[in-house]
Amino acid sequence: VRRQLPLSAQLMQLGALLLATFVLLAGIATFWRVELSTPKLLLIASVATGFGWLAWRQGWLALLLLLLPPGLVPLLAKIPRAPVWLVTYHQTLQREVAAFIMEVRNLGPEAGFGLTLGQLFVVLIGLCFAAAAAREALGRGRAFLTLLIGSAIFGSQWAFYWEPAAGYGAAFAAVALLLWVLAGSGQRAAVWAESGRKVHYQSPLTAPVASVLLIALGARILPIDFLPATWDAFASLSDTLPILQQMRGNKGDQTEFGLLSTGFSPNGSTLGGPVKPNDDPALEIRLAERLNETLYLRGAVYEQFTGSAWRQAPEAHGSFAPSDSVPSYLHPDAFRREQEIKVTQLQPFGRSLFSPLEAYQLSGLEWEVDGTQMLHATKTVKRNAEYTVTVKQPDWSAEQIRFFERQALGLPIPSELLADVHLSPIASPVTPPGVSPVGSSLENPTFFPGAITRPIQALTQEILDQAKAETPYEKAIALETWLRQAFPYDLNAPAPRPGQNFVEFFLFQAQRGYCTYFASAMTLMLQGAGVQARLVEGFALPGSTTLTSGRDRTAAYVVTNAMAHAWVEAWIPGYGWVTFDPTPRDDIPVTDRSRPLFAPAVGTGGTTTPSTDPTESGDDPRLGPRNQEDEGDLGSLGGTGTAGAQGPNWSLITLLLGLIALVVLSLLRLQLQVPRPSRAGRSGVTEAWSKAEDLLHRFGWGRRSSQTPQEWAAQVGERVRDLQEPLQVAAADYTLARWGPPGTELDPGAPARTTALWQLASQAMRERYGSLRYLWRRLGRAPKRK
Amino acid sequence: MRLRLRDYRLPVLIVAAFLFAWFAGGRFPYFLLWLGLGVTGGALLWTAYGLRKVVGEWRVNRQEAAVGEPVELTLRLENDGILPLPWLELDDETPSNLVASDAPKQATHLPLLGSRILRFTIRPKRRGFYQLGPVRLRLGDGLSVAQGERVIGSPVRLTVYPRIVPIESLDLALGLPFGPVRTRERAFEDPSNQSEIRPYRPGDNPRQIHWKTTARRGELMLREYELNAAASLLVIPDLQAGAPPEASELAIELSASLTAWAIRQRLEVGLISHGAERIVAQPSRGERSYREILEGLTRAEASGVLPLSRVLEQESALFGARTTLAVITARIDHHLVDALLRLRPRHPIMLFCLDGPSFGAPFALDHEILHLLARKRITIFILPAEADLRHLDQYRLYQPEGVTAL
Repeated sequence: VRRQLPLSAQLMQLGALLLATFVLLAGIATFWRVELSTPKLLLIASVATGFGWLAWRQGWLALLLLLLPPGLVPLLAKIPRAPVWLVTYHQTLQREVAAFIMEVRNLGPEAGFGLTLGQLFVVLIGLCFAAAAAREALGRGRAFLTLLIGSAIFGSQWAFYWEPAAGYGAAFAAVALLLWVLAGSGQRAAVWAESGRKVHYQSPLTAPVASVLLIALGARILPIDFLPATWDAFASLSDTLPILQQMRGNKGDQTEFGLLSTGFSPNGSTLGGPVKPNDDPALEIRLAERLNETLYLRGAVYEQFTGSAWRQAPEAHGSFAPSDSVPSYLHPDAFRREQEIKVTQLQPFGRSLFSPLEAYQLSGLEWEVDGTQMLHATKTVKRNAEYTVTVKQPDWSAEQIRFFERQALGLPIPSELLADVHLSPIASPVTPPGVSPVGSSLENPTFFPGAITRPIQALTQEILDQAKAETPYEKAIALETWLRQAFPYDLNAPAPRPGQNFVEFFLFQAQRGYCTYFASAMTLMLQGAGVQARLVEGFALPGSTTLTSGRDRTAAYVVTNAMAHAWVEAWIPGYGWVTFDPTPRDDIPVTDRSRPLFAPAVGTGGTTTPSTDPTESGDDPRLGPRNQEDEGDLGSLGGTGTAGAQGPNWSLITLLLGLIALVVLSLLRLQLQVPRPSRAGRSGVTEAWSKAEDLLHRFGWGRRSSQTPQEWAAQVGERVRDLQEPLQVAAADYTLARWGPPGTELDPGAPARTTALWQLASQAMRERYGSLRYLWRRLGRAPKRK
Repeated sequence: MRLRLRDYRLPVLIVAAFLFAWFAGGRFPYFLLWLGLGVTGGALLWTAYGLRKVVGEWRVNRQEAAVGEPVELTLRLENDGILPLPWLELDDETPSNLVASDAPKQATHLPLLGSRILRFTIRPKRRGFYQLGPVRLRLGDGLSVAQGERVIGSPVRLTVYPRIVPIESLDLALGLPFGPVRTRERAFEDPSNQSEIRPYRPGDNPRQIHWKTTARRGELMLREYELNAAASLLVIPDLQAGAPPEASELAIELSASLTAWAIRQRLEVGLISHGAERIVAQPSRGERSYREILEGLTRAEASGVLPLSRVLEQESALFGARTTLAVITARIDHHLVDALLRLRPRHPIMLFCLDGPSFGAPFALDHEILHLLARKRITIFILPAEADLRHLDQYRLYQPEGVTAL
């Protein structure tokens, strides 16, 4: 039954439908990378909304309109005098459809499609969605189907490919609920009119709209993903179904660490695209001393670039092997600092373990090591698992690197380096216990060339020529410096089109990006320049990271997903793997390699010892005053204890500010209703009387226009005995003040009496109606005066 | 109080989202889970809270009315809760065959801590004692996901008297002491109906001396009353089961109208009926008697077992001397004829015959019998279904000698 909805109700519903269609199409267009500008999307959404309205009014006509163009376009295109644009469009479409069918046959679900076909898909989806949603909303007064369609579309996008789809999905759900409210209200009005129901007041929209928006906001900020973790049995059950792991957006316990699991890889298997880092805590680490430079925790290493993604070369990683220690790949005379890092894993990352470069021991878990010095647990690491990594962290010295590199390559060593060598202690290296002899490890690793293109190669060569870089280290420095200066850091960087080389897209089109862009470019360019390099993903803690706690003479930090990072490790012949970071982040400066060839503070041999300076301990005044949280258990800090590392919680701040503003406005409104004690004379009496009248009017005791003050005073006084006398006196005062002859002397106590009347009336109303209702009536809108 | 979900698809979505979130985890399934739970749970809580917080207060502008007279009912709804109620539907569930309401279905919304006044104007269709209402209240959330129902009973009791038609012309069967035709009826003075004051003549009843006028004029003055042949009127409707309901209702309406007319004429009036219960009101004057008879007629039901002839026989001891009997029936048989003829010498009788076929009854009046009764100076009225009771005289069959208008 099609009911006669009021025009205003139809317009409001169509407005909400337009918004929902727009959000849906914007999400789909972004997801499919169909280039449609906002005005075009708005136009399509408007047309689709109109089509939806038509489908509600005349379903058969809408169906005809939907089917007619696909049938007519081929026919019209064959007419000899057909417009050129039509013929071109038809031909393009034909070509793209054929290509799409071919791709589907070859690639299956991963098939892509052309721009014209994509736009056609978007339009068709918009039309069908709007038709279904309009028929449900305008016809049945509901929007469940709308919500379901949006959930299915955005849910599948989120599950398989695209993390930000959750944000689009949330926005869409809020709009769908809004549509539901409007549709329900309109339908209710129509049903009431149809059934002859006498309607006193139509349903207001304010409260339902506010409530659904609050629910949507609450659903967005409520915690996620805490249920399966505590129930091992169910978790293991979910492990048995691989599809569930896939739908988990690669966040399952079994999934190894990668930027995808931290939100830095929005398109899943392919690189690039705008990201919105989340502040979910991933790790908690405790160090013996406070951070003063960037700490790189390695989580995954990739060697080979495919053009759209990085992959691990099995040859480089070798097979995992249980071990007691990790072989070092650094020159034994390299400066190092022994450090112990306690890691608590707050998120499941499969078997991945996190450690800086040159870790050599791990305790607390059974572990294995691969050819890239990556540590892996033998079993899936459970949430809240703890382990301790002992690392001989390199203290980079550019001079030392250059010295050993030139020595290994047989290049002449500059005189300034040679001068220092005489004073250097490198002749007596100290090999940490458990570290295998390094000589064999310093053999050049296997080279894995990536998908480098001619333009990248040419650009690399140009940069290196300009920097006059000869050795691998000099090349790495040149590229790192150039990348840091050439392009800005941008989390909203665009993604390349399917099939486009990601690095080429970054260097020549996008020219902005985040860590993945810069690290990928540098790694590939280094490989193109003949330097073995690999891309490392993990977490980078800037030296400026806020300390979470300084308890037990340890510095504790919570590592969040937003700290996920990608950087480069390049092989420097004769020295080993060196870390480079080409991403121009303000909080992560270029790695300090200023340590001279001869180490100034030497403990035993070439190994610098951890600082024992008391000012570096937990009592360091630079850490700021200790607060209650600092003394508490770090494990209980959770996500909210990472104030320094996380961005501000804008939702909460907005909510708080809104609440404060509401309270201030309410107080102001209350205050405005109170007579001002400073007013004296006639104006004081009239003001106090008017406000007393207004106060009582808010409770339904107002003076009618036909009543004199005395009559009103008598009427109210009969019902509220306490007010009887003050009201009569005040009525007389008011009459005299308001209408008394000019020059009449007014009793000086009259303003105070009338003000006291207001106080008495206020008290009487509060007692009569209770505090809550009293407050509400005073804050609410006053009823109309009769 | 009943609470239910109007749409069971949302719980299905919640379960699906929960299963996804449980097994697969992740942001979006949890968002859907919280959203579904928020919407459904919020709707249920809101509705349940609203149901508890709505208070209804009834008022009625009168507690007695005749059939067809308007009665103003007011229902003041107050929301004591701090949540507004976006919509409320109210259905007046007073049976529609008893009353006609101008707005039995109403709708509104209730602001938080606010109130609304709903007015119903009802017109009773049938006589009786009613408890008005109840009103069924339905309310829900803004999405209409949940709906709650509650019945607000009303303490309002209404007495609906039978319809009273103001009889404009009716000749009461009286014994007339004057006029062209000699009659055997004896006239009585009606002390309540003073005619004039005249000088005392020897032989006059000294109890009728008007002392005030006597004192003023200085001579004995006597008050004289109108002569009245009928001492009282006794209404006897036939409420034996089997007659068409419309006929029984007309009998009761006619009884009430005759009562009102008699009260206006300052006659003593009484009632005898044997319906579901025996109702007897001794002839008397005044408002109290009037109320007594009307209340008797209000609760009278045409489900008696005694035929009217037996009623007349059984109750004849209660018939006072000179009481005019107003007998109302749709069925006339020889038993009734015999009973009427037996009573006729002692009582003037007005027989109101309801024309059975016009009420859809299978039996009809025997006009020969009616003529026979008329010749025996029983005043006969034949009333069809749509009879205009204001002008009863037009339905009069025969006017025997010696009967005139009052």
